[in-house]
Amino acid sequence: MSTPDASGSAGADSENKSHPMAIAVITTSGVFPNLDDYRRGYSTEVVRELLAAAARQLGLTNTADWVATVGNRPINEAETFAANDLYGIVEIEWHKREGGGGA
Amino acid sequence: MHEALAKSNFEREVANLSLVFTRCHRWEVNSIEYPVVDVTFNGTRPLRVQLTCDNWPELPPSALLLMPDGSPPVGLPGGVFHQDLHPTTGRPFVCMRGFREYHTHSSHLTDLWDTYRAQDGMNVAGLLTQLCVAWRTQVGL
Repeated sequence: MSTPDASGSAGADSENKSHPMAIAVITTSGVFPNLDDYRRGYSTEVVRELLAAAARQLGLTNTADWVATVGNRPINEAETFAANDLYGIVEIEWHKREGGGGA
Repeated sequence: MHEALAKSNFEREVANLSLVFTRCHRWEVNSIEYPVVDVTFNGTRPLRVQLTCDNWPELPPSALLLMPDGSPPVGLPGGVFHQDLHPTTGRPFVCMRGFREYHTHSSHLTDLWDTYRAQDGMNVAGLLTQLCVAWRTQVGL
């Protein structure tokens, strides 16, 4: 998988248009769709639907407390990629939220 | 646990530390040799972690915190990163569920590793990711 150039904004007017995208979900149990490619999708797709597909493929059954980020920015899984200002090639980091602690 | 089984479990775990995964997280893998994963979280304040995964997953992994050059850590920020010494190891330690030093600390003996070890995201890559997120949250990206 090559390093994507950017996930730059296509502008507010583009939020309602459907732009083709290439998306990878990088988790602590593997990469969706695989290590060598991106999944094709559209900017109007809801992030949660893609994460659900990734969970099915990677055998993840309990991700209720997981967080999704792009470039260290948390994204709203209930919104579309466009509403999260994500376009083009996007790599989503998806992992369990860190635990607290302190002795 | 039989040594061969523990090593097989370890090999399966470290397969998740792919180049795609480590590049995305900005980690440098210094070495992977059973039972130790040695990685550096790059950033404004890099942190090196040697994670010992003997008897994985029966035992939680033990985290040794280091400066990138391998020297003992200085100026740990608190939170889950304790500069004071662990009563068992005598070293600065990570106090987060999932790590051996947490579950063997007198304050958390009743919070058992068995509660967590089967959860998604509590594997080796997941624990390192949680530690990295906690570190960067504390010290900056």
